[in-house]
Amino acid sequence: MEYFPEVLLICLIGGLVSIDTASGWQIMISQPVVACPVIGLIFGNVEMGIMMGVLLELPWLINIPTGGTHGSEGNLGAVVAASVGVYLLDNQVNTENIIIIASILYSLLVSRIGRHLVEFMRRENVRLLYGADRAASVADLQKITLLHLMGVVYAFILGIVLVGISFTIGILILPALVGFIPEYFDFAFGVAKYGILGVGFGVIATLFISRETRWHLIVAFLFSLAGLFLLLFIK
Amino acid sequence: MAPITKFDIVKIFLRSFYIQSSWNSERLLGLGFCFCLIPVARKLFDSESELIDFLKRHLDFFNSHPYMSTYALGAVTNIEQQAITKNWQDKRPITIFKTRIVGPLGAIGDTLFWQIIRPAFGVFAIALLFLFGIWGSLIYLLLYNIPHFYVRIKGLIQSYIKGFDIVRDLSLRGAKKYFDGLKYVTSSLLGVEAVIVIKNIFDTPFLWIGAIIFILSGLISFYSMRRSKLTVDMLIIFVIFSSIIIGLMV
Repeated sequence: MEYFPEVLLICLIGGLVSIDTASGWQIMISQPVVACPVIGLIFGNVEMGIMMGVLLELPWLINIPTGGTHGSEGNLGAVVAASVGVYLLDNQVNTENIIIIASILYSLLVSRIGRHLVEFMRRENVRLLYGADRAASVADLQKITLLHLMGVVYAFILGIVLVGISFTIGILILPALVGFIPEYFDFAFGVAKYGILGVGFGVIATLFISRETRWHLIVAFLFSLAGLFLLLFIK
Repeated sequence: MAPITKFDIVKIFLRSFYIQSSWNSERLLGLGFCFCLIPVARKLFDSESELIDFLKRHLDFFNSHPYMSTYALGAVTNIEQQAITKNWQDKRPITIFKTRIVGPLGAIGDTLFWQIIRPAFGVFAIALLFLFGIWGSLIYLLLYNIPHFYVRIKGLIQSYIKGFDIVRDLSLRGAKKYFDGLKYVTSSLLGVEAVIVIKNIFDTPFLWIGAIIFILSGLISFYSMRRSKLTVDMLIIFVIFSSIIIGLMV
């Protein structure tokens, strides 16, 4: 109960992230680079929030919602990863790197569940549409407005419920599981962080790299590397 | 019929942020489109039968990229006004216009924002977080929303002025040169960013092994996504467990 106000805030962020992901605004407050540092700030560990944001931002950007298709709910997963991660670190369940990787693995499961919940919500939206059809036949403008905005309410509730339940289950189950991992695994788990970052870069590169653009990447990489060595040499 | 005012256009603009709220598999953004045009419906129609026709017309199938939807909203507002002032008996051109505009709006919006600008800014945001901490998030939000708001506002105003003629401005082929330019810039940015990450790794105890794992997992992800071999979650799980095994061996 000591974290009750923070948990309420996390659920609220979950609801807002869920709306911003697809239902409304889409001003990108739902992106992990924004939501995760904010969660870190709420719990008093900004560094952990930033780390989660950096690791989870790129991989999910490959899910392009064209023609109504959508992948895992990576944004909501990132909210859960950041909040569970910060909580476990605060309670010193294990070392930082082990906690980060365990939270990210857990968030993958949450993202998958989120995807099915969104599919369910979109099926429910068909009912709103039929209701709007009936309202249109009697020219009830207010009812059409209310029915449409119910979609925002659905998304908000989905975010709150998914994040709230996942966070609660996470802080109940993960400490026991994570506590079992020997502390000398910390280095190996730390290495895995850079693996995830690499996945993000590799995945995003598929959107940009082609025969025409690959030399831009290679030349920019080599020039930056040369610049870095020059900088280190001068130092 | 009362004339459409600037205030009504502002209302449509604000409502356009919620166009996807009731997204459904049957008519996609149909209900959202009708919702956005309600300020217009209130102004243009005095008789109930005309209002019902209007609502039914715009509850029909519609799809678009959410940011680009303002192009359709502005143009339809203009055309509906024309239909009343010129006393059109047949309103089918409005429905045909909406059907025709769905393709370009989706194609341009998805390519420009979901495939180029959002990922490009995502890459940039990571550099911002490394450099400025939590302030990087705020800078990212401000910068990303410049093109976002620009497209929404420009789309609404231009299409409201041009009506049917807005179709001429919406050509994927015409926009391709800008897309290519953005892709060159982002590819270069990815190269610079990779070095920033590697430099960051060298500030930690992971040194070479961290840098090698970063580059290797990047290459594996690139090629497996190109060939659609693995989903993102499977890739992350695979890379995590492989990295842990390698980390334990070192």
